[in-house]
Amino acid sequence: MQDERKGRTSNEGNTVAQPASKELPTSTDVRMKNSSNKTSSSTVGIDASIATENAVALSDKLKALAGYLDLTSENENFEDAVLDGLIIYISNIMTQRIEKFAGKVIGKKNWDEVDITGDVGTDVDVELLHSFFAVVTNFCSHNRSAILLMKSKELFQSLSQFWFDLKNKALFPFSLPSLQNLSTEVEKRDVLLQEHPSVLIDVIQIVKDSTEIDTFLVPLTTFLANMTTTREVRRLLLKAGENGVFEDICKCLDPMYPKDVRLMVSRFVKHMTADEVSHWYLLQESVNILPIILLPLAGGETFADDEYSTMPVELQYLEPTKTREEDSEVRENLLFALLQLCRLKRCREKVRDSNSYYILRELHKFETQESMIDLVERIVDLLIRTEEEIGEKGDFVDFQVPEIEQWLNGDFVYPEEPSNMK
Amino acid sequence: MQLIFQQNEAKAKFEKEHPEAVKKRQTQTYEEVEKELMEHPFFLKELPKEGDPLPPLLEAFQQLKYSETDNSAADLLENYKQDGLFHFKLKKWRTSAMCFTEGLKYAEDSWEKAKLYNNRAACQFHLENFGSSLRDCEKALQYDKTYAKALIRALSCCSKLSKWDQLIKLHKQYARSVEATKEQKAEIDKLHMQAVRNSKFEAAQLRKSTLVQKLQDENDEKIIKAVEARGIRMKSKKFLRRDREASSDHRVQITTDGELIWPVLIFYPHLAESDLIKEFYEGATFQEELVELLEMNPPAWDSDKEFVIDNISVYFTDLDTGNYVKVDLLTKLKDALKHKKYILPENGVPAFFVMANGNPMCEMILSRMEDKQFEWKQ
Repeated sequence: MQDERKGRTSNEGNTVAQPASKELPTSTDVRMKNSSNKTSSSTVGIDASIATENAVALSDKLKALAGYLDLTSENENFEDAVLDGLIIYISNIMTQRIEKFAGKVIGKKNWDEVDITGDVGTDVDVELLHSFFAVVTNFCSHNRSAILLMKSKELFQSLSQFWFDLKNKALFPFSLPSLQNLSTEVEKRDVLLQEHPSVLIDVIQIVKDSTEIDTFLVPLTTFLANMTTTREVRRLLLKAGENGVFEDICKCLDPMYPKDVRLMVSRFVKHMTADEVSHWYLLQESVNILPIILLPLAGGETFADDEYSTMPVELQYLEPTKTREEDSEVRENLLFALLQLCRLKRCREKVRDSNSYYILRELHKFETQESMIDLVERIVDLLIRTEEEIGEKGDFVDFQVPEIEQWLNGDFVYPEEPSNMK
Repeated sequence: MQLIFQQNEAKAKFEKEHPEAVKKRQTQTYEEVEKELMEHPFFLKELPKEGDPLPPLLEAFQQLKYSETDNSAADLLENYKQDGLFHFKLKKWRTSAMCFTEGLKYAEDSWEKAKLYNNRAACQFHLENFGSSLRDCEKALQYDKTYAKALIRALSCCSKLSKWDQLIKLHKQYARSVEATKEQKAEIDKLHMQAVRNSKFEAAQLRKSTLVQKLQDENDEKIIKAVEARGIRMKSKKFLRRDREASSDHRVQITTDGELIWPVLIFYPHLAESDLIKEFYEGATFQEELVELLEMNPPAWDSDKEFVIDNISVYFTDLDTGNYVKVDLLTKLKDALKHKKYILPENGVPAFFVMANGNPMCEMILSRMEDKQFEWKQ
């Protein structure tokens, strides 16, 4: 009994909701490193004749600008006027040079297929494209400039086609890091949510349509993992998400996908279990989070027919050749999510009834790290006890948990501690 | 007055242009007139059969509505469409479908085509031609990807045909693009959910049967190895082949300790009777098993009580010579099976013959045996 109390007061469910950058190193901004000259803004030479300027010269200018943006790590260094000027400059290049290039890229699967020769009005150069997006990426890494970018609707719209249009797939490696940077700080996330909430759905749609060989999944899943550290994002995702959208994102937990992608998706799953209000809903068929969590944790062991009968159908009769998730951080995130799901009584009962215990028992034999073994034991402990043993207060929360609709409709305000809510 | 004047003028004009018609009228007999009248739709007693030339008046009416030369494409399209809807309301699905098919020849607009395909799909659905209906729905969606009704019907067809993967694929393709009401969206989601559920269930069943099959194959291997290890001669190694009709009573089993349990047939050749010992442990003797067989449950045909343990002998057939080979009652099954003359039959069920000493029929059979005239078929 004492252990349960300890678990509750340490607020595990809520530490997850901390801003990503503190506990998740890879969510820091992507910066386009540039070894060229370290010039100040005045010498970058912002002028209006971008349309006619030679591609090489423009590209050099942009490289310098990117380098400058990379150096200045604190946004306070920029004056407002400089920022405004930069936004206009970037917008101009976007519409006059880069958008025309988009036509050449449509339909190509990767960069090698793009025909970069020939005239597109003014000659556009690969270097120019690189440099341009380097500027945008570094621009997005600073809070103030990023917010300014998000508030200029037209520029954002133009950039969106390079982020979300699958036809421009070949450009994703250049353009998506900037999107990723928009999600790394809480201030940026809040503005993004306010100004462009549909971005979430657009990202999910691409992840849905992607395949395991798509490298652009790394920035996209990182984006999702970062964004879901904000409670409002989680609420919106559940509200706007269609049936099975979780499964579509979490297909990336399959071993076919690269490790970084799996890692980010596991964080996504962990974050989504931060709100107790949503737990019951997450366990329902339309979201179906339980087999999503358990499948990577299951090895190829066979159980008896009656043990399989109440298990989720995705976990039944797995091939003996099935391997467990090899990365321990991914496993840890998934286990943590499962632990969260056992906080509320009816959710715990559902997890118990699904015979997840058997999967965990086998996992326990497999784990060697003490921290992991400990985590598994904590979950198993909650599952093997009956509700009578756990005690009267079955729900390990301080407040009365309402039905999900109330929260999704905005009628319920989460009793909050500090950090990320506005 | 005006009307009559116009009629007269028209008549005059007609008579001028078609003198042969005038002549016909003047020379027709009563019978000919009657015949012509009876062909008028008003007086027809039955519909003209297919293939028969139509009476000219009927043909004229037909031309009026359906002729390509006299009607524009738009008119024809409308005509066929209305006909289709008319017959649909009367639940004449085939006729309705035919009308829509005709209409499709004249439809040019994507939207019109989509509608017609959808309508025809509805007819097919009512006729329970779910495959054809599905194809038409897919065509409708190709021409109009916002068509919610077509998507719902397509998904329903897939559901009826249990084509879960196709349903999921269609849903992925069109669910976002269709313009659906809340109820329609709910319906689409419901069908999708059902398909996901079913396809997952089928996948699990497949995994299960693969696993079961694998376990059975492994078990079979073990048995064959065990039989070989004991030096038992086999007619064919395939005696374990899975036969759907064969019940589990007739298959040899292996215990976890590696002991074999055989189903054994006991023949009483003088009466062509037989018994089956379902589980004869290889370590058990014939004495033990036959005591149980004959004395615990005495056979009904043994009125003279000859078949008692002290009075019987056990034999098996040497398949090479046809002779009987005697087996001592105290022999264990496994030792009998590995006898150098014993061959395990094709069906994997060992058979032994039990005779009563002193029984005249048994004596006769045995004596025939010595003459090598009698061959047992197993």
